[in-house]
Parts: sequence; C-alpha cells; structure tokens
Amino acid sequence: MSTRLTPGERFEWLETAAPRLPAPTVERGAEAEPAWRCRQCGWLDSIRERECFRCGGPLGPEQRLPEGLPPPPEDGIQLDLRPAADSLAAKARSVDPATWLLRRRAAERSRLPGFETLLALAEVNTETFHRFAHQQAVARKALREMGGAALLADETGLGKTIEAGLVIKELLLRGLAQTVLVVVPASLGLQWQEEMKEKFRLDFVVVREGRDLKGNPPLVIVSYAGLRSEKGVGKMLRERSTDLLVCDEAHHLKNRSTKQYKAVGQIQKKYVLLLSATPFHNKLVELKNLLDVLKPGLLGSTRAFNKQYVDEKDPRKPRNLHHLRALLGEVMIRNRRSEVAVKLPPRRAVVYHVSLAPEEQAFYDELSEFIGNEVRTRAASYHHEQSHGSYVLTLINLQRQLCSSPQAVASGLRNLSQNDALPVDVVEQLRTYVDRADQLGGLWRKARAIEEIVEKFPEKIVVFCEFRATIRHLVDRLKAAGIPALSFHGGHGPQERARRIQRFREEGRILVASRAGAEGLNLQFCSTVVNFDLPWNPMIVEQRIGRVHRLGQTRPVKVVNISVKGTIEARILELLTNKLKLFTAVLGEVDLILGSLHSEKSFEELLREAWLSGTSSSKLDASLESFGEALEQARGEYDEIKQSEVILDTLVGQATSATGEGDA
Amino acid sequence: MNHAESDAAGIAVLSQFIADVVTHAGGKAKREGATLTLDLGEMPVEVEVESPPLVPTPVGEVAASSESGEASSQAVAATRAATRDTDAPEKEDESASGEEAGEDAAEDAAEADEPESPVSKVVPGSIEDLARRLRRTDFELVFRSEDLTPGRDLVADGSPLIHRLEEFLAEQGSRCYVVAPATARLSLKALDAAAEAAAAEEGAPLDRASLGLLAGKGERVRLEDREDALGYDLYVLYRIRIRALEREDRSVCVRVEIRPGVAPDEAIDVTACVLDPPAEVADWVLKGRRRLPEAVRPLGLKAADTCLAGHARQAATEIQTKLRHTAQDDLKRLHAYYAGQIAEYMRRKSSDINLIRIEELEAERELRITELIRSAEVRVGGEALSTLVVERPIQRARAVRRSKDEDEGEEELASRWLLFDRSRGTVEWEGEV
Repeated sequence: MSTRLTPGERFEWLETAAPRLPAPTVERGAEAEPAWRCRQCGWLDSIRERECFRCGGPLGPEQRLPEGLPPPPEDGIQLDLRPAADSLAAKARSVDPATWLLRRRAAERSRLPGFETLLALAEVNTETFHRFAHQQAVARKALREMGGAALLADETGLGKTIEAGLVIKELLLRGLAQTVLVVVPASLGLQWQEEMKEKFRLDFVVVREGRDLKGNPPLVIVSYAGLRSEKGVGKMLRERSTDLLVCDEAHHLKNRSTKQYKAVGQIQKKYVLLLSATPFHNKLVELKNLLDVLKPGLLGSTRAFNKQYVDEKDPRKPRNLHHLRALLGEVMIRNRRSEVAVKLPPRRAVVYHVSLAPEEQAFYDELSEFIGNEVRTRAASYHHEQSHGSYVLTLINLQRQLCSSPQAVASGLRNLSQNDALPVDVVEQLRTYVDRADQLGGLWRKARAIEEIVEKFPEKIVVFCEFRATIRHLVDRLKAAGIPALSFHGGHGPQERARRIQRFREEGRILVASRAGAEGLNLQFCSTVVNFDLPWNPMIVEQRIGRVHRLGQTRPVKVVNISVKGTIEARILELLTNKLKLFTAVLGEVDLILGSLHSEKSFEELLREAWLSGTSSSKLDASLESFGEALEQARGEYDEIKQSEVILDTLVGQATSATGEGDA
Repeated sequence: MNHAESDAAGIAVLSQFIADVVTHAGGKAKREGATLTLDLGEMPVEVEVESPPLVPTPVGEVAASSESGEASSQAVAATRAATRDTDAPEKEDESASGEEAGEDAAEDAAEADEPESPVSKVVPGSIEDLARRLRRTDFELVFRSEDLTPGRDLVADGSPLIHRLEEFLAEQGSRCYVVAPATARLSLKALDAAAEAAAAEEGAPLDRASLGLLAGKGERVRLEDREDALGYDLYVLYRIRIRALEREDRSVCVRVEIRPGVAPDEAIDVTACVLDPPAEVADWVLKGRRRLPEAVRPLGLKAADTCLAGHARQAATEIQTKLRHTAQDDLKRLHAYYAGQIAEYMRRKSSDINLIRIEELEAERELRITELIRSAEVRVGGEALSTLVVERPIQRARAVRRSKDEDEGEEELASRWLLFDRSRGTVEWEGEV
C-alpha cells in the first residue's frame, strides 16, 4: 500500500527542543562569609552586626543556641497506655517458647525505623513507579531535616508530584497524618488524583462543592478557586484542620494580599509542602511570601527582607547571598536537571493533515450545524440547569463522536434518538443522520490515514481513541487490511488486559486503546503514539504520550496527530500545537502554562465555553481565536517566569539540593 | 562499625528473622546475595485474595488491633480443638491441677460452640496459614531500595510484610508458660557457692559470718524447716508508640519477679525492670495449661504497667526536650515576626482596612502558635502484646547456727531465713535489700 495524499494533505513535523535555561551567572559561594545568628529569633546576619536587625536581640556564632530553656512540663506528654490486664485476653491461647521468642523478635523488627528508611517505597505500585534517588532524597530531607515543612522547587519534569506523593504516603503509613489536603490549579486536579492512585494507591477525592465533602473524606484535592470561596467547600475546608497541606504550583501564593493566600493561611496544619519550580516571578519578595506560609518570619518582615536581601535597583536580584542561601536551606529543596540522572529520549511530534471526502465533509458540516442549532435553541430553552447541562454535554459528545468515526457518531445519534423529550421531527432527522453515518463507514478518511501512518512508521504503534465504537471498527479494518491489531479498553478485565499487552509486546503491531483502558500502563517497548481523536483536555494528551515516553524508553518517541481539515478537532489541535506548544514543551511545562491561565476554570471548561459561545460557525473562529490568545498570553507569561528560575538557581547552595544519582 | 557495616548487620538480622519465621512454620527460606527467597508451598484453595486498601492503614496499627485479644482470631478459634492434639507439650502436662483442667475443658467447650469460619481448614501457625496471610507463596525479598526490581519486594524494619508476620505469630497465641529446670539442690555447699558468686559479682569480699554460714568452734550450721515453694518471672511484652512530629515505635519487655516472702510471714515480693527473658527459655518445658495464679497475676501485671509507664515517660521526656528546644526558637521567631508586622500597620494612619489587617495578623499568629504547640506535643500510646511466665522452683529454709553441747542438747544460737532458687542456684537472705 502506498500513501496517496490529496492536495493539501501533508505530514508536518513540529519544531522540538524547547530552549533551556541559561546557566546561573552569579558564582556560587562568591559572597560566602561567616554568619551570626540571633539568639532570640534565629535571624542570620553578618558578623559585622551586633544587634539583630529583626528583633534587636544579641547576635552570636551560629552554633550557639539559646540557653536556659525551662524544663518541659509533664502536661505536654500524653500517656495513653492500656493496662496489660485489659490488653491481654483472659483466655489467651498458649504458644511454645520458641514461638513466643519469635514474636518478641517480630515486635522488635516491626517497630518503625526513622525517616531515613522510607516505608512508602515498599508500598508504591512498582509497575508504574520509577524510583529516582533524587526524589527519595527530597522526601527524606523534607521529613527528617525540615520536619515536614518544605518548599519543593525542583526544575520542571523532575517529579515534584512524586516527591510530594512519597511524603504523603510516608506520613499516612506511619500514622502521623490522617488527613491530607492538596490545593492545585483547577486544571491539574484530575491529573493529581490519577497520579496518586496509579503510583501510590491513594484514593483522593476532587472536591468542587460542599456535598463532595460528605462523609468527611480524608484525602482531598481542591482548586485554589475552590479553597478561597467564601461559602461551601472553601469555608468547610478552611474550618477543618488538616494534618498535611500540599500546595501545588505554589507560586499562586506569591501575593500575600490575595484571597487564596489568606485562605491557605487560615488552614490549621501540622505538615506543609509547597511545590513550585518558579516560586517567584517578578520580585524576590514573592519567594519570601511563599516561605511565610511554611515558616512565618523566617525571612523577617517584608521591610526587613527587602532591605537585607533584595537589590535596591532590581527587585528580582538578591544580595547577601550567603545568608539568604543559609536561610533558604532550612526550608527549600531544589534539584536541577543537570544534577540528576533523569534522562528521557527526545520526542518528536508530527501532524498529519488530511481532508475529508466530499460526502464526509458534507455530512460533518450538516451535522455540526444541527448540533449548533440544538445548542442555541433547544438546550438554551431548558430552564432547569441540570437538563440544560446534561443536553449540552450530550451534544458536545456527539460533536466529538462526529470527529472520531461514522460508527461512533451513529451510535451517539441512535442513543439520542431514543430521547423521549425530543420532538418527533428531530428524532426523524436523527434517524436520517444515522443512516447516512452508516453509509459513510467505507469512506472514513481517518481510518485510511491510520493505514498510511502504519505504512510510514514500520514499528509498533499505540493508537489512542476516545470511543469504543471507533476502536472496534478501526481494529476490524486494520485486520482486514492484514495488519495485526488489538483492541484495548476499559471493558476488558484485568487478566484479559494483561494478555493483550503480552500479545502486543510479543507479536502485535498496532494497539488501539482507549485512555481509560491504558491507565497505569507501561508501554516503553513501543515508541510511536497516534492521537486518532483528540481529547479536549491537554493533560489527557500528555498522559497518553506518557504511556510510552517514560523512564525505560530508549528510543526517540514519535507522536502522530491527525488533523482533519475543517473540523473542530483540527482547530483544537492547532491550539495545542501552536498556542500551548503541547508537543514540544519540556516535560512538566504544560502544567505551569495552564496554571498561568487567568481563569478559575480548567482548559477543558474554557474550551467548551469557547465552543458553546461560537456554535454558529462565524463566531466559532472568533471565540477560539480569543481562547488561543489567552493561551498565548499564558505561554508568554510562563516564558518570562522562566527567567526567574535563573535567579532562583543562584539562591541554591549545596544545602538546598537533595541531589542523588538516579537509580532507575 | 561504620554506616555501611551497621546497615549490613541490620539487614542480616532482619533477613534471619524472616527466614526463622518461615522455617518455623514449615516453609523454605534461602538467602542468596542481596535476596531472600521464600517458598511457602501451596496457597490454600478456600482463601480469597483481597486487594490492598487504597488508604493505607498506618503500619503497626494492624498488628496492634489484632492483639486486642483473640477476638480477631475467632476465625481460627474453632480449629483449636483440632490442633490441640498436635500440641504435644500440653498433653504431657499431667501436673495441671484439677481446677486448671476443668477451666480448660470449659474453655474448649465454649470455643467449640463458635461458628466455623470459611478458613477453618487452615491450621493456625501452619505454612498454609502464613501463605494465606501473605497472599502469596513465592517471594523474592530485597532489603535495599537499589536492589528492588519488578517482581521483588522491598522489606525493611516496620514494613507491612513484617507486620503480617507478627500478626501470624500473634494469632497463634499470646501467652507462654514454661518451667525452669531445677538444676541445683539446696545445701550448705550450694549456699556457699551462691554467696561466693554474689560477692564476686559485687566485687566485695565474702562475709560468711554475716550471712550466718560461718560456724564457730563448737558450733555448726544446719538448714532446717525446708519447704518447697514457687517463684515466677512474669515477662510482659509491650509495644509503645511515641508520636510527635515523627513517630517512634519501641517494643519493651518488662520482667516482674514474683517471689514469696523470704520469711514465712513476709509479704509477696514483686519487683519489675525492663529486661528480656534469657534465650534458654526456648529449651524449657512448656506447661501450656498452667497460668500465673490469680492471687499474684493482678499484682504482677500492675507492677509491669507501672514500670512501663516510667520507661515511656522517660522516653517521651527526652523527645519532648528536643522538640521544645526547636519550638522555643520558633515561638520567638513567630512573636518577633508578627509583632513587627502588626507594628508596621499600627504606625500607619488608622483606617478600617489597617485595623482589619491587624486583627487578621493576630488571628494568624494565634493559629500558628496553636500549630506550634501541637507540634511539640508528645503522645505515647501502648499496649501489652503477650506474656511469658517462667515458673521457678524455690526452696525456703532456715540457716540455723547451733552449739554442739552434747549434754544440754543443741542450742539455737542464730538463724536466718533464705530462699534458694533451684533453677538459678541463687539465694536471697532474710533482711537483705
């Protein structure tokens, strides 16, 4: 079979290799000089000073600690020892002395070791969790040396979420924490939830409204917007104390006058982790604000900090570096890519631009118009919020099925035609569309595109689809063309899934999978991913790619996207590739860019809104254009923010890095 | 010993412990390089494998809850009658009193009424029982994270696997009663040797006269009013959990020596200290049906509890002293920081916004101080896990010094009561502290 492209159809390779940060220009240790610490409040200052700048207390050599502390009162110790007579059953059975002595040894061995031994490592899902020495070192350091209050500031892609997951799991396993609250930008909630479940077997609940907290779930994820809300979930979460608070993309707390900063400050917690690769953006004082969440006053008052540690002319530039590093070393850990052995092969992305056949295009246009009409008229006429929302979701799904395959959309149309609430003429029209979709099955340009891709890339390929009808028919078609293909989706049981992966590994050529089916899979033995249809959530695309572009992958990874001219999917793909630069970003950057979107809504919600507001085709371009601009702005802001990382690196001394050799 | 050597030694101890449990149950364990391979035979067919919980149970809690008596072991209790026959030492125990035997019979009858559980075919303590608990029959264990690869399990002190082994051992029973063998006979020679050994241990010269063992001219020393008695060493194994910012678990074994008074009219003597039983108890005769007499059991357990409480408080105080040291520094920092912040707002022109901000800062300061106080709290929880009673044969006697006057008969010049421990060959004298 040879690839015959019609005019306008082409493979477009996307530019890769995102720019790396320049090396820090300030020589480390250049300003090193001995420091004195205030005996009253711990403030670090130059040995030239005699009085503490912050509290006026006496300064002295760092190792000299305050003396004459009062002895601990006994009421700070709570003894809760059950009397032996109560603990031991009266009718306890007898064992031989050898067993008793073994039990004695067991009691000794089952005692918990210190944090130098991470119990969590024995409890993670070894299929999906790759151990990196630097991540373990960070978790140990945060727990042992920082008492569970730390800013994890690793460069993007080094696994801050994993580090936080290790700390969470460790504290839960040791019974030191029973409740965990994770605060994230809205777009990252589900990703966190999945990662915690997949790697750490932890069931977090993403809460959006008060009723989600019914039953008082111990492990909770909430967005910054949700936490700062005056009523409902925000109020409830602020009022209940939590053992461990984790704030992801913690630069959202850079400004102390914001509601979310105050909301976080109102939470009573025992341990706290802040995660950010870019803890300050425009001013160094933003870093200080962040650290005040961890250890209020560690860097003094704002005035004192600015005077002592910030360059008079440039608010981003630090001074008194040696002292500042020492103070930051108490709470901040930062690893850089160059220092740790996290090496992934490069990935390249290509867009295969194809055009629909005239009959397919006509069908697409007509049905899209019908869907748009339904959104504008019928859905809008539903006054009940739930009915409106439900019908809109059905229509969005139909639009996505239309982009996926004739079989998928036929299935969706059949379901919709059984909706009793629809008038007879609409149902009749839907049935006509079903017939037309059934007739188009043979044409199906996207399926032909897959055959062409298979021919062009002669290796194992994972094709991701969103709908089972598409998966089924695509597999049938590939098999008919003599290409060994396997389906793989959430409908298969665990044993069947394992069997199919084994077959794919050993003799398969193509795996056509759904995202749900591929959750938690490691497919490093394959290096090409095809996004057959496109989820409206970029993080899901990231996760798809992550199935093959992960530790253990030795070959460059290819990501093939299909862009069907004139469809909504082509426009979304354009947003992802050109505005968000999803396929060329460094691992982890997308999280930060999405976090820079000035919105309380996720990417998916914003995209849905753009689609809804532009359902008449003339407006769709404008609304997607506007959304694209917002993405571009977020990307631009992120590029600026990245520059602050250069300054941050100058603040990292030996003490703040938890570098170790990778051992994966 | 450097860090690496100490790590290697720790791994060797842990590995040996796991191997001992598995071989004790009838399985196979083999150490090869960095791995310990376990073969537990076949998985019992009636067992359903459970998936692991998504919210982890804090380690140690599982084992602790299973200790709350044999309640959690009801599932296997019904098998006890069947396994009783296999408990050979119990069958040998013909010296159990009629009362004890009656209690045991009643206990058996009560247990026989319990409903049969789905796992009743698995004999507690058997290798099938262990396989059922561990949910697998083949293991390749490693002890360092760098040796971990898919298919292997990482084990460290405190790992869930260790807790399951502990549960496995715990559910077999939590009490043990052994009789220390009588290796010495009470005689003046034996007393002399015991006194000599005691003096040597204290580094003091042996003063036979003060002990009443030295007979002057025309005198002799005799042992009179001999009487057999029993002494008990009650070992209570506890687990304590010290929770502060970190958690530290300890297992503590308290020994309570329960002895009759040296003189017949003296009260029972009960002394407790933190001490493990000697290794040789493994070879002593098991008397499974015997129990510590009810007259002394409460006294013994109470003494053990008191000793444990002192030990726990001392441990907690040490931890709290360190914590408070840090907390004091943090408290000063907090006060200085918030005082400075509030002062800045107070210096500004008075306005509602500034006042609100000051109130917010004060509330925040209170919250942070509450957190700080919470972080310096030390909570110690604990419970007893099991008991071991060592029955010790004892003889009470009176060392009497008499004159050898043949005309007037022997006159008693002095006497002193003593207790002779026939298993240790040690002696305790009347009036001795």
